[in-house]
Amino acid sequence: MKKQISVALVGNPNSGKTSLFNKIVGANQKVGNFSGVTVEKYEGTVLHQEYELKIIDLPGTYSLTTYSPEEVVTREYILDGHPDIVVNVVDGTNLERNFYLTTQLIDAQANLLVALNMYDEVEQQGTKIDLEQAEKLLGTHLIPTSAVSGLGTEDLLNHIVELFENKISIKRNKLSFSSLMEGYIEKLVKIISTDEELSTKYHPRWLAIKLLVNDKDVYKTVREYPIWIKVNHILSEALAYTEKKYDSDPELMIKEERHALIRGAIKETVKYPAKRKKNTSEIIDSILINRVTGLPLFIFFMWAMFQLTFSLGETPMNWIEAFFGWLGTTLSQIITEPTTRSIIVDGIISGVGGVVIFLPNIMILFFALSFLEGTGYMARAAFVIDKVMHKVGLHGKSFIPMITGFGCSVPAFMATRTLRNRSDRITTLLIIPFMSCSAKFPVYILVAGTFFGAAHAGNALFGIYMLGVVVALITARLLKTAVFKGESEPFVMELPPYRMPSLKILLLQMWQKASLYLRKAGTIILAASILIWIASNYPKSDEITAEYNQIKSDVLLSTDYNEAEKVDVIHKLEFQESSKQLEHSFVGQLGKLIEPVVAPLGFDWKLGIALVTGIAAKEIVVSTMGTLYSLGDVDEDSHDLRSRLLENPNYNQAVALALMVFVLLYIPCVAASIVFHKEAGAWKWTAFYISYTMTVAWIMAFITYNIGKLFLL
Amino acid sequence: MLMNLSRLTYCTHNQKVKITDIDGGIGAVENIKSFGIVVGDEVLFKSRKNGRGKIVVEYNNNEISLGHELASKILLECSAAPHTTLDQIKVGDIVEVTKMGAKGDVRFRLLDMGLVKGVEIKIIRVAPLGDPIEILINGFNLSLRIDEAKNIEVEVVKINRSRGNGKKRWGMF
Repeated sequence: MKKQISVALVGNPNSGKTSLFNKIVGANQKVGNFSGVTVEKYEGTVLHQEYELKIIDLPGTYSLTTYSPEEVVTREYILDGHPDIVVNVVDGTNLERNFYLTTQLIDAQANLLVALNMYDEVEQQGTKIDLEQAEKLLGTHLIPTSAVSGLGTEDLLNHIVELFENKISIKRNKLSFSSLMEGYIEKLVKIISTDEELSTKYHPRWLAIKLLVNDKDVYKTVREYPIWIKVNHILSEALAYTEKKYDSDPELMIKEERHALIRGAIKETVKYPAKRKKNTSEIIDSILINRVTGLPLFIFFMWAMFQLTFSLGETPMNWIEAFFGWLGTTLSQIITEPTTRSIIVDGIISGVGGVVIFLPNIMILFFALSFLEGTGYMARAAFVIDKVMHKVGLHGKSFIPMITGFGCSVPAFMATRTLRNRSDRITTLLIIPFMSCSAKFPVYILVAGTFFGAAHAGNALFGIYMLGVVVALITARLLKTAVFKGESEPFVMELPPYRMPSLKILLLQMWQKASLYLRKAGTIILAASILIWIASNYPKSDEITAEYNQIKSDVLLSTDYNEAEKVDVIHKLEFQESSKQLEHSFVGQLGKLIEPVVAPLGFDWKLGIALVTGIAAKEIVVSTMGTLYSLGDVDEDSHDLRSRLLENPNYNQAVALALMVFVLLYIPCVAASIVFHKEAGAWKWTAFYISYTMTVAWIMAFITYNIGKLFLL
Repeated sequence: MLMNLSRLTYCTHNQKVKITDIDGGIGAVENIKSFGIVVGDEVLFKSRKNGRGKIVVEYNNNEISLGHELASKILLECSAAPHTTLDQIKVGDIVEVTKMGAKGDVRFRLLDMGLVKGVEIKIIRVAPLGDPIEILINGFNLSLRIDEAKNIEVEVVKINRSRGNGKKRWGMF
């Protein structure tokens, strides 16, 4: 068993940290979650010399503070997780901002190595860095690296081992602030050092600095200790003095001084080229986000991403559908026992198949999202659309998860992880269901096509989609004013230079996200499919079975039909039987039970049952209606189903519209609900999500039906 | 005395200024003329609407309301370097931060990004819908909302004139 070294990778977003991680560990990585939060955890291993390096890629962060779950996780891991080595990945073309984090890591006394990443770009720009001097000033080792060219990766691994074995060391340089601030720091350090427990758990200087900059988490920690009174006294003194004398406060002064220190160090060690050439990113941006073309191009890219997902995904979807169909028929022939056959073919295979069929779409969508994120366009998208989002209390970054919701809610929910602020994330999660997902489309096609005819179906469809968007935006506004008052995230956001992400990494990320989807949706869906199968097949009525067996044997024996006709009639009888059995089952009885609830919306118990089954998956609504009309397995284009619907005197355009509205707004499928719960992380939100969607659906359908009755046929 | 260049949008309440030039093409000159204002006139800066909203000036005892973009093309001379807030700055101009006035979460974020006293910023663009704005700071590009920029006090270091120079201009970049 090799000796292990735990290594934590920390750095700014867009510093190439993840590319470096991927370069070092390759495919030897796995994705999980940090416990209790929806933050992804990327861990990998690499063997070097006699060691096994366990590397964890922490989320990108600009500073060791604690606003977002990502920053909390990073900080806790470094301070409490005690990794053997911390590698700070720094974007060499962006030293001032990146070193801000570096100096904090130094304050935290981490066992630090700095990987000066994107070094190839640094050299390309013509910038010269005096590495030796910089190492002396910072008090840490600097290793030039480039994830793209592979430069320095071997060197970095060597350094990790050497640092672990204490073979190399650099004199730690205490980065001093102004004498005023150092004075307060010293006083605080003295007080903190008197508490043995606290000063062994955390480095006193780190605590002192964080106390002066109003760090909420450190406040909470230190407040538990008896020295808090003395500490608070110093803090108030510092606050009063800095306000009076400098019209400032300790937090501002320390942060400003930190930046000044960094600037000074850079001035001494870095020589920038005389003329900064206009780089490619600037040129691209002047085309992509200028005042005239910015918005149209943005809309075009969103549309293109969408189109790509569904047109490219079509062929593999058909293959999967064919495969599951074949699997179903083959197993039907092999398994003779009717109950087992039904549970496996109708329950498991169609249930799981219904989820897997979306896999091509999901993979393409994730690939597109990774591409947009990796190139840097995602930030531009948020930049362009933020004004609209902000008007309803959202953030520009909410747009892409919302758009994804038009495809499927599951990846859309997962895409909200880019929103670092909790209330923005929850709000976006809650409104994504109103972005009509593609599974609802067959219902619209069926209903609109039947009741509105070719001419008007398109308008009805467009109206429904728009209604969804409007309800989403109103919900966002309501949540902002009533629930999340004044908590929105600042827009402050970096626009990173455009970069071409490596294909290998894009495919890797696509695969990671897709397998997360499969694990989440797949396992639960299996359970849910079986449950729903049971609920739609039991209890069975023996009378109905007996009755139909009698009729069927009569037909077989009768002389009125020839052989071919008999087969046809038996088939029709079996469909009828299925229909009656469905009525008798738990799902059927539930549908009849809720009839008084859906009657004001113009729905009868048949539609009630269909809607109940729609909770499993929205596509099922159409096939359930097929079953109820004794048509066996049909889809939305079925001529027979359409004529049956038209024949029913209780159905008309008003009902049709109300039905579409209800399907648009009511609770999404089980898969989505489960992923929602995982992403939102609290039962109260899931409960709200269920009750809110149902209520809104009911009210809107009610209004639609009653107003529709007055104007439509 | 060395005179500093400034823009009408950088003025403060009740400041009396003399117009010395127009930073734009013939279109801008004509547009401004249609309000009755030409180079050499003296106007009194009265008020500005929130963010990059309309600018109200008083000229010949008349109150004139100008759009922000148009007003920013009116150049004047003043004795000291103009001081204003980051949200008012025209695309292309360079400023230095004199005071970080933001509070709360916004302040945390801005400080993390290096927006501190003394740092130099260049305004790169305004988003197509008018908000947010993109700035160049310490070699990287940062975007922030006008609302977030309004609490950052700055001193104008360089006014970059557009390529107009009073002549006919075309093109959108």
